[in-house]
Amino acid sequence: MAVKFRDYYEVLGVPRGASEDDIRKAFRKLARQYHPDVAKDKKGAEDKFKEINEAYEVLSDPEKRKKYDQLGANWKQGAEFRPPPGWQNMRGQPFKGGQADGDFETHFGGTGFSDFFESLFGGARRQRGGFGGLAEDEPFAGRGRDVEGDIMVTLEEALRGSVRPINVQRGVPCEHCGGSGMRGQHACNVCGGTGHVTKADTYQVRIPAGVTDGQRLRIAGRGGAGMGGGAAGDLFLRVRLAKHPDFEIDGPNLVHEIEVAPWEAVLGTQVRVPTLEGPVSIKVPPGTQNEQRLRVRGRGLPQRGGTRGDLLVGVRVEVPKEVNESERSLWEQLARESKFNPRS
Amino acid sequence: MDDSAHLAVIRLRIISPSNQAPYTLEELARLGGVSPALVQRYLDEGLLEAIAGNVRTSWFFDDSTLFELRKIQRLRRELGVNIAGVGVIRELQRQIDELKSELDASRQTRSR
Repeated sequence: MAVKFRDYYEVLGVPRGASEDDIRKAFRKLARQYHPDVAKDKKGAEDKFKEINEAYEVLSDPEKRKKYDQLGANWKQGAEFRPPPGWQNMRGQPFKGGQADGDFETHFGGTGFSDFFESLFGGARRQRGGFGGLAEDEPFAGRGRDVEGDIMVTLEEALRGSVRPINVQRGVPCEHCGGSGMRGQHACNVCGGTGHVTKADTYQVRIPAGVTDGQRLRIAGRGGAGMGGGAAGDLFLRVRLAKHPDFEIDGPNLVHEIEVAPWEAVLGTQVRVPTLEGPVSIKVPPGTQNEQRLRVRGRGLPQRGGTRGDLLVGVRVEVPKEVNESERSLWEQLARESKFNPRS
Repeated sequence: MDDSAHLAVIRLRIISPSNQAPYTLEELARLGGVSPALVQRYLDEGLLEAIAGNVRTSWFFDDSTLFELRKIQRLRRELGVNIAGVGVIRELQRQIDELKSELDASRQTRSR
Protein backbone atom coordinates (compact mmCIF):
# COMPACT_ATOMS: atom_id res chain seq x y z
CA MET A 1 0.00 0.00 0.00
CA ALA A 2 1.27 3.44 -0.85
CA VAL A 3 1.64 5.82 2.04
CA LYS A 4 2.78 9.42 2.27
CA PHE A 5 6.49 9.87 2.69
CA ARG A 6 7.49 11.77 5.80
CA ASP A 7 10.67 13.79 5.81
CA TYR A 8 11.65 13.45 9.44
CA TYR A 9 14.60 15.80 9.06
CA GLU A 10 12.32 18.49 7.73
CA VAL A 11 9.84 17.90 10.55
CA LEU A 12 12.55 18.54 13.15
CA GLY A 13 14.18 21.25 11.05
CA VAL A 14 17.65 19.69 11.09
CA PRO A 15 20.04 18.85 8.21
CA ARG A 16 20.45 15.20 7.22
CA GLY A 17 23.89 15.08 8.78
CA ALA A 18 22.72 16.43 12.15
CA SER A 19 24.34 14.96 15.25
CA GLU A 20 22.36 13.08 17.89
CA ASP A 21 22.70 16.10 20.16
CA ASP A 22 21.33 18.47 17.54
CA ILE A 23 18.40 16.15 16.92
CA ARG A 24 17.62 15.92 20.62
CA LYS A 25 17.85 19.71 20.98
CA ALA A 26 15.59 20.33 18.02
CA PHE A 27 13.08 17.79 19.31
CA ARG A 28 13.02 19.16 22.86
CA LYS A 29 12.48 22.68 21.58
CA LEU A 30 9.64 21.75 19.24
CA ALA A 31 8.04 19.41 21.78
CA ARG A 32 7.90 22.22 24.31
CA GLN A 33 6.43 24.56 21.73
CA TYR A 34 3.76 22.19 20.46
CA HIS A 35 2.84 20.22 23.55
CA PRO A 36 -0.98 20.31 23.72
CA ASP A 37 -0.86 21.39 27.36
CA VAL A 38 1.21 24.41 26.47
CA ALA A 39 0.33 25.49 22.93
CA LYS A 40 -2.39 28.05 22.24
CA ASP A 41 -3.93 26.29 19.25
CA LYS A 42 -4.53 22.97 20.97
CA LYS A 43 -5.98 21.05 18.06
CA GLY A 44 -3.34 22.01 15.50
CA ALA A 45 -0.61 21.56 18.08
CA GLU A 46 -1.66 17.99 18.83
CA ASP A 47 -1.16 16.85 15.22
CA LYS A 48 2.14 18.67 15.01
CA PHE A 49 3.23 17.19 18.33
CA LYS A 50 2.53 13.67 17.05
CA GLU A 51 4.56 14.35 13.93
CA ILE A 52 7.51 15.66 15.95
CA ASN A 53 7.42 12.63 18.23
CA GLU A 54 7.37 10.24 15.31
CA ALA A 55 10.33 11.99 13.70
CA TYR A 56 12.27 11.85 16.95
CA GLU A 57 11.33 8.21 17.47
CA VAL A 58 13.12 7.39 14.24
CA LEU A 59 16.01 9.86 14.20
CA SER A 60 16.99 9.38 17.85
CA ASP A 61 17.46 5.66 17.37
CA PRO A 62 20.70 4.90 15.45
CA GLU A 63 19.30 1.69 13.93
CA LYS A 64 16.03 3.21 12.79
CA ARG A 65 17.81 6.29 11.53
CA LYS A 66 20.20 4.17 9.49
CA LYS A 67 17.29 2.26 8.02
CA TYR A 68 15.48 5.48 7.24
CA ASP A 69 18.56 7.06 5.66
CA GLN A 70 18.84 4.09 3.30
CA LEU A 71 15.70 5.34 1.59
CA GLY A 72 17.83 8.14 0.18
CA ALA A 73 17.56 11.87 0.17
CA ASN A 74 15.35 12.30 -2.86
CA TRP A 75 12.02 11.78 -1.22
CA LYS A 76 9.83 14.79 -0.69
CA GLN A 77 7.54 15.28 2.29
CA GLY A 78 4.06 14.04 1.35
CA ALA A 79 5.14 12.06 -1.77
CA GLU A 80 3.50 8.67 -2.34
CA PHE A 81 5.77 6.07 -0.89
CA ARG A 82 6.03 2.29 -1.14
CA PRO A 83 8.60 0.37 0.84
CA PRO A 84 11.30 -0.77 -1.65
CA PRO A 85 11.40 -4.49 -2.55
CA GLY A 86 13.29 -6.58 -0.07
CA TRP A 87 12.70 -4.03 2.63
CA GLN A 88 12.39 -5.87 5.87
CA ASN A 89 10.62 -4.00 8.53
CA MET A 90 11.95 -3.98 12.00
CA ARG A 91 8.95 -5.55 13.62
CA GLY A 92 9.66 -7.03 16.99
CA GLN A 93 13.21 -5.81 17.36
CA PRO A 94 14.14 -4.72 20.84
CA PHE A 95 14.52 -1.03 21.50
CA LYS A 96 16.35 0.78 24.19
CA GLY A 97 14.48 1.57 27.34
CA GLY A 98 14.73 4.59 29.60
CA GLN A 99 17.78 6.80 29.80
CA ALA A 100 20.53 5.89 32.19
CA ASP A 101 19.59 8.57 34.71
CA GLY A 102 16.31 6.84 35.34
CA ASP A 103 14.24 9.66 33.90
CA PHE A 104 11.48 8.94 31.45
CA GLU A 105 12.42 8.42 27.90
CA THR A 106 10.15 10.76 26.08
CA HIS A 107 7.38 8.77 24.61
CA PHE A 108 4.06 9.90 23.39
CA GLY A 109 1.74 7.27 24.78
CA GLY A 110 -1.66 6.91 23.17
CA THR A 111 -0.74 8.48 19.87
CA GLY A 112 -1.10 7.02 16.47
CA PHE A 113 2.03 6.85 14.40
CA SER A 114 1.62 7.49 10.72
CA ASP A 115 1.15 4.69 8.20
CA PHE A 116 4.51 5.67 6.79
CA PHE A 117 6.07 4.89 10.15
CA GLU A 118 4.10 1.67 10.47
CA SER A 119 5.15 0.49 7.01
CA LEU A 120 8.80 0.88 7.96
CA PHE A 121 8.93 0.14 11.64
CA GLY A 122 5.53 -1.40 12.33
CA GLY A 123 5.13 -2.86 15.80
CA ALA A 124 8.51 -1.62 16.93
CA ARG A 125 7.72 1.04 19.46
CA ARG A 126 10.06 2.27 22.08
CA GLN A 127 9.65 0.51 25.38
CA ARG A 128 8.42 2.65 28.19
CA GLY A 129 11.28 3.78 30.38
CA GLY A 130 11.46 2.81 34.02
CA PHE A 131 11.25 5.56 36.55
CA GLY A 132 13.04 5.34 39.88
CA GLY A 133 11.78 1.82 40.44
CA LEU A 134 8.17 2.98 40.28
CA ALA A 135 6.72 1.09 37.38
CA GLU A 136 3.76 2.39 35.49
CA ASP A 137 0.94 0.09 34.63
CA GLU A 138 0.91 -0.86 30.98
CA PRO A 139 -2.82 -0.64 30.18
CA PHE A 140 -2.32 3.09 29.73
CA ALA A 141 -0.27 2.65 26.59
CA GLY A 142 -2.57 3.41 23.66
CA ARG A 143 -5.16 5.08 25.82
CA GLY A 144 -6.89 8.04 24.15
CA ARG A 145 -6.21 11.58 25.26
CA ASP A 146 -8.36 13.25 27.85
CA VAL A 147 -10.43 16.09 26.47
CA GLU A 148 -10.94 19.25 28.53
CA GLY A 149 -13.70 21.77 28.38
CA ASP A 150 -15.49 24.39 30.41
CA ILE A 151 -19.14 24.26 31.31
CA MET A 152 -21.05 27.36 32.39
CA VAL A 153 -23.38 26.72 35.28
CA THR A 154 -25.75 29.25 36.81
CA LEU A 155 -25.84 29.57 40.58
CA GLU A 156 -29.35 28.12 40.64
CA GLU A 157 -28.13 25.08 38.67
CA ALA A 158 -25.17 24.66 41.02
CA LEU A 159 -27.61 24.55 43.90
CA ARG A 160 -30.26 22.27 42.47
CA GLY A 161 -28.46 20.42 39.69
CA SER A 162 -29.61 20.45 36.06
CA VAL A 163 -29.12 19.00 32.62
CA ARG A 164 -27.13 21.00 30.08
CA PRO A 165 -26.38 20.42 26.41
CA ILE A 166 -22.69 20.62 25.52
CA ASN A 167 -20.73 20.44 22.31
CA VAL A 168 -17.52 18.46 22.32
CA GLN A 169 -15.03 18.28 19.48
CA ARG A 170 -12.68 15.35 19.52
CA GLY A 171 -10.50 13.39 17.14
CA VAL A 172 -11.84 10.00 16.10
CA PRO A 173 -10.58 7.51 13.51
CA CYS A 174 -11.94 8.29 10.03
CA GLU A 175 -14.74 5.83 9.27
CA HIS A 176 -14.37 6.33 5.53
CA CYS A 177 -10.90 4.80 5.34
CA GLY A 178 -10.96 2.87 8.60
CA GLY A 179 -8.36 5.21 10.08
CA SER A 180 -5.65 4.29 7.56
CA GLY A 181 -5.75 7.60 5.69
CA MET A 182 -5.75 5.75 2.34
CA ARG A 183 -8.48 4.64 -0.04
CA GLY A 184 -6.93 2.27 -2.52
CA GLN A 185 -4.02 4.12 -4.11
CA HIS A 186 -5.06 7.56 -2.97
CA ALA A 187 -5.24 9.58 0.16
CA CYS A 188 -8.70 9.39 1.71
CA ASN A 189 -10.65 12.46 0.63
CA VAL A 190 -12.71 12.57 3.80
CA CYS A 191 -9.85 12.91 6.31
CA GLY A 192 -7.26 14.22 3.83
CA GLY A 193 -4.97 11.27 4.51
CA THR A 194 -4.55 11.92 8.21
CA GLY A 195 -6.62 8.89 9.24
CA HIS A 196 -8.68 10.82 11.73
CA VAL A 197 -11.42 13.41 11.66
CA THR A 198 -12.75 15.90 14.15
CA LYS A 199 -16.17 14.90 15.32
CA ALA A 200 -18.55 17.24 17.08
CA ASP A 201 -20.80 15.50 19.56
CA THR A 202 -23.69 17.07 21.38
CA TYR A 203 -24.61 15.56 24.69
CA GLN A 204 -26.81 16.47 27.56
CA VAL A 205 -24.74 16.42 30.69
CA ARG A 206 -26.26 15.96 34.08
CA ILE A 207 -24.86 18.58 36.44
CA PRO A 208 -25.04 17.20 39.95
CA ALA A 209 -26.39 19.45 42.68
CA GLY A 210 -23.68 21.06 44.75
CA VAL A 211 -20.99 21.61 42.11
CA THR A 212 -18.40 24.25 42.98
CA ASP A 213 -16.51 26.73 40.81
CA GLY A 214 -13.44 25.11 39.25
CA GLN A 215 -14.58 21.57 40.08
CA ARG A 216 -13.94 18.97 37.37
CA LEU A 217 -16.66 16.62 36.25
CA ARG A 218 -15.31 13.48 34.62
CA ILE A 219 -17.30 11.72 31.96
CA ALA A 220 -15.59 8.39 31.40
CA GLY A 221 -14.81 7.30 27.84
CA ARG A 222 -15.89 10.51 26.08
CA GLY A 223 -12.38 11.77 25.35
CA GLY A 224 -10.16 11.02 22.36
CA ALA A 225 -10.28 7.56 20.78
CA GLY A 226 -7.62 5.08 21.92
CA MET A 227 -5.03 3.55 19.60
CA GLY A 228 -4.49 -0.11 18.95
CA GLY A 229 -7.37 -1.27 21.12
CA GLY A 230 -6.56 1.20 23.90
CA ALA A 231 -9.40 2.62 25.92
CA ALA A 232 -10.83 6.03 25.01
CA GLY A 233 -9.78 9.01 27.11
CA ASP A 234 -12.13 10.78 29.46
CA LEU A 235 -13.91 14.09 29.11
CA PHE A 236 -13.16 16.53 31.91
CA LEU A 237 -15.52 19.46 32.24
CA ARG A 238 -14.48 22.33 34.45
CA VAL A 239 -17.38 24.00 36.17
CA ARG A 240 -17.51 27.77 35.72
CA LEU A 241 -20.13 29.57 37.73
CA ALA A 242 -21.90 32.18 35.64
CA LYS A 243 -22.27 35.76 36.82
CA HIS A 244 -25.54 36.40 38.60
CA PRO A 245 -27.37 39.75 38.49
CA ASP A 246 -28.14 39.72 42.23
CA PHE A 247 -25.07 38.10 43.77
CA GLU A 248 -21.31 38.31 43.77
CA ILE A 249 -19.40 35.18 44.69
CA ASP A 250 -16.98 35.32 47.62
CA GLY A 251 -15.61 31.82 48.21
CA PRO A 252 -18.47 29.73 49.61
CA ASN A 253 -20.54 32.84 50.28
CA LEU A 254 -22.81 34.97 48.14
CA VAL A 255 -22.76 38.72 48.54
CA HIS A 256 -25.76 40.97 47.92
CA GLU A 257 -25.79 44.72 48.44
CA ILE A 258 -28.68 46.74 49.81
CA GLU A 259 -29.09 50.47 50.33
CA VAL A 260 -30.70 51.85 53.48
CA ALA A 261 -31.67 55.35 54.59
CA PRO A 262 -29.72 56.90 57.48
CA TRP A 263 -32.72 56.60 59.83
CA GLU A 264 -33.16 52.95 58.86
CA ALA A 265 -29.53 52.32 59.77
CA VAL A 266 -30.02 54.09 63.12
CA LEU A 267 -33.42 52.72 64.05
CA GLY A 268 -33.26 49.32 62.37
CA THR A 269 -35.69 47.95 59.80
CA GLN A 270 -36.88 44.89 57.88
CA VAL A 271 -35.67 44.46 54.27
CA ARG A 272 -36.50 41.88 51.64
CA VAL A 273 -33.41 40.39 50.00
CA PRO A 274 -33.20 37.85 47.18
CA THR A 275 -31.75 34.39 47.79
CA LEU A 276 -31.31 31.53 45.34
CA GLU A 277 -34.52 30.07 46.75
CA GLY A 278 -36.55 33.25 46.48
CA PRO A 279 -36.73 36.44 48.57
CA VAL A 280 -36.54 36.43 52.34
CA SER A 281 -37.08 39.19 54.87
CA ILE A 282 -34.12 40.10 57.05
CA LYS A 283 -33.74 42.38 60.03
CA VAL A 284 -31.31 45.29 59.77
CA PRO A 285 -30.50 45.83 63.46
CA PRO A 286 -30.49 49.33 65.02
CA GLY A 287 -27.10 51.05 64.76
CA THR A 288 -26.02 49.26 61.58
CA GLN A 289 -22.89 50.87 60.11
CA ASN A 290 -22.18 51.72 56.49
CA GLU A 291 -20.53 48.75 54.70
CA GLN A 292 -21.44 46.41 57.54
CA ARG A 293 -22.24 42.89 56.37
CA LEU A 294 -25.23 40.99 57.68
CA ARG A 295 -25.05 37.22 57.54
CA VAL A 296 -27.91 34.99 56.45
CA ARG A 297 -26.68 31.54 57.43
CA GLY A 298 -26.85 28.65 54.99
CA ARG A 299 -28.06 30.66 51.98
CA GLY A 300 -24.72 30.70 50.16
CA LEU A 301 -23.19 28.21 47.73
CA PRO A 302 -23.25 24.47 48.31
CA GLN A 303 -19.96 23.07 49.56
CA ARG A 304 -18.25 19.75 49.43
CA GLY A 305 -19.67 17.52 52.13
CA GLY A 306 -23.20 18.89 51.87
CA THR A 307 -22.77 22.12 53.84
CA ARG A 308 -23.57 25.56 52.46
CA GLY A 309 -21.97 28.96 52.64
CA ASP A 310 -23.78 32.06 53.83
CA LEU A 311 -25.48 34.97 52.14
CA LEU A 312 -23.67 38.16 53.14
CA VAL A 313 -25.82 41.26 52.84
CA GLY A 314 -23.66 44.35 52.44
CA VAL A 315 -25.38 47.47 53.81
CA ARG A 316 -24.75 50.83 52.21
CA VAL A 317 -26.18 53.89 53.91
CA GLU A 318 -27.44 56.31 51.27
CA VAL A 319 -27.81 59.96 52.11
CA PRO A 320 -30.60 61.99 50.41
CA LYS A 321 -29.13 64.45 47.91
CA GLU A 322 -31.95 66.93 48.25
CA VAL A 323 -34.25 67.68 51.18
CA ASN A 324 -37.39 69.79 51.41
CA GLU A 325 -38.03 72.49 53.99
CA SER A 326 -39.57 70.32 56.71
CA GLU A 327 -36.94 67.60 56.27
CA ARG A 328 -34.21 70.20 56.57
CA SER A 329 -35.64 71.53 59.85
CA LEU A 330 -35.79 67.96 61.22
CA TRP A 331 -32.11 67.38 60.31
CA GLU A 332 -31.25 70.72 61.89
CA GLN A 333 -33.08 69.78 65.07
CA LEU A 334 -31.16 66.46 65.08
CA ALA A 335 -27.88 68.32 64.58
CA ARG A 336 -28.61 70.56 67.56
CA GLU A 337 -29.69 67.82 69.91
CA SER A 338 -27.48 64.87 68.97
CA LYS A 339 -24.44 64.06 71.12
CA PHE A 340 -23.00 61.95 68.31
CA ASN A 341 -19.59 63.09 67.10
CA PRO A 342 -17.93 60.75 64.56
CA ARG A 343 -14.57 62.57 65.00
CA SER A 344 -14.34 62.33 68.75
CA MET B 1 -51.83 23.72 9.76
CA ASP B 2 -49.96 22.45 12.75
CA ASP B 3 -46.33 23.41 12.29
CA SER B 4 -45.12 21.18 15.07
CA ALA B 5 -45.93 18.13 12.93
CA HIS B 6 -43.00 19.05 10.69
CA LEU B 7 -40.42 19.64 13.36
CA ALA B 8 -38.11 16.73 13.96
CA VAL B 9 -37.69 16.04 17.62
CA ILE B 10 -34.15 15.05 18.47
CA ARG B 11 -33.69 13.54 21.85
CA LEU B 12 -30.15 13.99 23.10
CA ARG B 13 -28.72 11.35 25.32
CA ILE B 14 -28.23 12.43 28.87
CA ILE B 15 -24.83 11.43 30.14
CA SER B 16 -23.85 11.58 33.76
CA PRO B 17 -20.44 12.36 35.17
CA SER B 18 -18.66 9.53 36.91
CA ASN B 19 -20.08 9.15 40.37
CA GLN B 20 -17.38 6.92 41.77
CA ALA B 21 -15.59 9.79 43.49
CA PRO B 22 -14.34 10.18 46.17
CA TYR B 23 -11.51 7.76 45.50
CA THR B 24 -9.05 6.11 47.83
CA LEU B 25 -5.36 6.44 47.04
CA GLU B 26 -5.37 2.99 45.39
CA GLU B 27 -8.40 3.80 43.23
CA LEU B 28 -6.86 7.10 42.19
CA ALA B 29 -3.64 5.33 41.22
CA ARG B 30 -5.54 2.77 39.14
CA LEU B 31 -7.55 5.44 37.29
CA GLY B 32 -4.38 7.44 36.68
CA GLY B 33 -2.50 4.40 35.36
CA VAL B 34 0.28 4.68 37.94
CA SER B 35 1.37 2.81 41.04
CA PRO B 36 0.10 3.84 44.49
CA ALA B 37 3.73 4.48 45.45
CA LEU B 38 4.02 7.10 42.69
CA VAL B 39 0.81 8.82 43.87
CA GLN B 40 2.29 8.81 47.36
CA ARG B 41 5.43 10.44 46.02
CA TYR B 42 3.44 13.17 44.24
CA LEU B 43 1.58 13.81 47.51
CA ASP B 44 4.88 14.04 49.40
CA GLU B 45 6.17 16.49 46.81
CA GLY B 46 3.03 18.60 47.09
CA LEU B 47 1.95 18.03 43.48
CA LEU B 48 -1.32 16.44 44.58
CA GLU B 49 -3.53 17.10 47.57
CA ALA B 50 -6.14 14.96 49.27
CA ILE B 51 -9.58 16.53 49.57
CA ALA B 52 -10.16 14.92 52.96
CA GLY B 53 -8.39 12.91 55.61
CA ASN B 54 -5.14 13.51 57.42
CA VAL B 55 -3.62 10.04 57.52
CA ARG B 56 -2.88 7.88 54.51
CA THR B 57 -5.65 5.36 55.19
CA SER B 58 -8.30 8.07 55.36
CA TRP B 59 -7.20 10.13 52.35
CA PHE B 60 -9.77 10.80 49.70
CA PHE B 61 -9.49 12.27 46.23
CA ASP B 62 -11.91 13.54 43.60
CA ASP B 63 -11.94 13.94 39.83
CA SER B 64 -10.02 17.21 40.05
CA THR B 65 -7.16 15.26 41.65
CA LEU B 66 -7.41 12.61 38.95
CA PHE B 67 -7.28 15.32 36.28
CA GLU B 68 -4.18 16.77 37.93
CA LEU B 69 -2.55 13.34 38.15
CA ARG B 70 -3.08 12.71 34.44
CA LYS B 71 -1.69 16.17 33.61
CA ILE B 72 1.42 15.41 35.66
CA GLN B 73 1.87 12.08 33.90
CA ARG B 74 1.50 13.70 30.49
CA LEU B 75 4.13 16.31 31.23
CA ARG B 76 6.52 13.66 32.50
CA ARG B 77 5.91 11.10 29.79
CA GLU B 78 5.59 13.35 26.79
CA LEU B 79 8.06 16.09 27.61
CA GLY B 80 10.44 14.27 29.92
CA VAL B 81 9.88 16.87 32.66
CA ASN B 82 11.14 15.85 36.11
CA ILE B 83 9.07 16.10 39.28
CA ALA B 84 10.41 19.51 40.34
CA GLY B 85 9.81 20.82 36.82
CA VAL B 86 6.23 19.52 36.81
CA GLY B 87 5.55 21.48 40.00
CA VAL B 88 6.79 24.71 38.44
CA ILE B 89 4.92 24.16 35.17
CA ARG B 90 1.60 23.39 36.84
CA GLU B 91 1.96 26.43 39.08
CA LEU B 92 2.64 28.65 36.06
CA GLN B 93 -0.26 27.11 34.16
CA ARG B 94 -2.56 27.82 37.10
CA GLN B 95 -1.37 31.42 37.19
CA ILE B 96 -1.98 31.78 33.45
CA ASP B 97 -5.49 30.36 33.90
CA GLU B 98 -6.19 32.87 36.66
CA LEU B 99 -4.86 35.76 34.61
CA LYS B 100 -6.94 34.64 31.63
CA SER B 101 -10.16 34.57 33.62
CA GLU B 102 -9.35 37.94 35.19
CA LEU B 103 -8.71 39.32 31.71
CA ASP B 104 -12.00 37.85 30.46
CA ALA B 105 -13.86 39.34 33.40
CA SER B 106 -12.39 42.80 32.89
CA ARG B 107 -13.10 42.63 29.15
CA GLN B 108 -16.73 41.77 29.90
CA THR B 109 -17.03 44.67 32.33
CA ARG B 110 -15.52 47.07 29.82
CA SER B 111 -17.78 45.99 26.96
CA ARG B 112 -20.86 46.56 29.10
